Amino acid sequence: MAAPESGDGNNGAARMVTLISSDNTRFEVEAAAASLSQTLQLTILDGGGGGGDGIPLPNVDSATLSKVLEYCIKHAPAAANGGAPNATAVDRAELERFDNEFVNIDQSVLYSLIMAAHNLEIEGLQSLVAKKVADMIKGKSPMEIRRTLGFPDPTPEEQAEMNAHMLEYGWAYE
Amino acid sequence: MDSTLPTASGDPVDSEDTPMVHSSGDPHDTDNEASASAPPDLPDAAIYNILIRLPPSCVTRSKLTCKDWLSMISHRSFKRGHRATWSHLPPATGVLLFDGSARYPATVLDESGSPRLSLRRWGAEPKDGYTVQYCCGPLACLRTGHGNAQLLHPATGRSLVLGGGSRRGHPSTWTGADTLPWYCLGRCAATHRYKVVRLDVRLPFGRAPHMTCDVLTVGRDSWDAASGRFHARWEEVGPWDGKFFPTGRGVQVAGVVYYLSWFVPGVCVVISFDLHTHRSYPIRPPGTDADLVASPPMSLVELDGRLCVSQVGGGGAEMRVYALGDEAQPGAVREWTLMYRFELEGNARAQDAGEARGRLALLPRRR
Repeated sequence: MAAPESGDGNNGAARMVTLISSDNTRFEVEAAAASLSQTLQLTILDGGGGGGDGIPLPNVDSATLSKVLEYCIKHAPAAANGGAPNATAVDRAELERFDNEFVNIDQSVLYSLIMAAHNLEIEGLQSLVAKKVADMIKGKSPMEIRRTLGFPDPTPEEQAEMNAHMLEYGWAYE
Repeated sequence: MDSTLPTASGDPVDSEDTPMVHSSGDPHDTDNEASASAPPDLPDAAIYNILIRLPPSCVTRSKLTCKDWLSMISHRSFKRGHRATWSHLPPATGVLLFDGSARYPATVLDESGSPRLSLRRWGAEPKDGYTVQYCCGPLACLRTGHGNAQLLHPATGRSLVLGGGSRRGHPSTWTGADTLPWYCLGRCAATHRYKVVRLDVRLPFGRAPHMTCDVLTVGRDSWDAASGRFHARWEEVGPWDGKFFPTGRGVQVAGVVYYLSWFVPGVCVVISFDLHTHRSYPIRPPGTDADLVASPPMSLVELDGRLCVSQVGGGGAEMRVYALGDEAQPGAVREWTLMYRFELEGNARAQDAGEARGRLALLPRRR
């Protein structure tokens, strides 16, 4: 299995699959890139998504999907190399730079990405967006976290509950 | 004037005595507070992924963000996963609290060792400062310059004013009276509630000392659910036995607060105050002669969950530390065991052994 990215492909041209977003936009990408998604991988291995049919993704809109695919295309070569034993430091630095740039986005886009990464089970993207959100709330007080993430203000009951929790149980990190 | 001072947002602020809490700037703070997009209804797995990436000092703090986060972070499987993720870091960093006149009497260090949160005083007057009274579990009990008790959760910077500063009885002629009342924080062994014991002493001129003891229970029912506000209810405990004159803030061990008290000048006894029954009993300290005519200088300290007494003997040449044994049966005399013996240089005082001059350290708990 010298070329895992081409699956059962045979000739030089990489196999392409078609993905259809919730608003019916069609995206044609290399199977290797789409296979970063655990959800899609099985379908693709079964030979789905090729030719005219395409794989419908009712939970992902076209804006989000194009963003997700941008990530997948960038990361597919490294992933195909299986953890990239022969990747150079330059390659890794380039990917890191790309990742940092990639999540430098509006918060609503970030949420859509979290949902998409979750639904499509793209592990690398899941960690990337989670890390971004973790960085956003790191060092903030509970109230600041709520504001940062756009949660509504707590009700007095909820606030009382939280205060009571703090004092009744303490909350050492055990 | 105090009410105009900034406080940490979202704290249960109940009065003017709230300490100012500073979260040191976060490099990632560039992200706006304004973009309040629609509240995300993220799946649990996604939230788990986020929270597992928060460093230990933050994850504790973020528990109080909402109920869902609280239950997730409190869950055993999360704790395991989080510990595994962050196992490359040294165990949770301690919290140092200092007494006295420092500009920043309390500082919390995070994993990298840099101060993350400082509790500071805002005036030059001693009455604007805080004195650390006692630390128990994750909470510290402070005494404000106005004499009120205040609970502080150093890891989060949240604080709660408990009041208790108003004093009853005759005015005192004693010069040490401005360090009163004394507060001690403990956790009731039976109900697991945190309780604060307030002890006040008045020495009216020409009269017998007047001592009062009150207890405040901090629990779920102290919160008014409708307003989310805290109601401090101090409960008066019967008169303190006038024979025993407490000398300090007390030391709490396993739901019992111990006070070193003068019995007669030159003779000390230990008074135990049970946080559950609110009863107090005298305990004869070690090394005191049977007729209670003299006792060496001593101080109380908690070591490894036991009450210890350190005494200086031999004319200041050695220090002995005794631990108080368990009650073999109800009412039985509790024995002291000699734990350590140190040789001292010069004339060190017992005071330096335990509470190193009012300085306490909260050390990280081991798993």
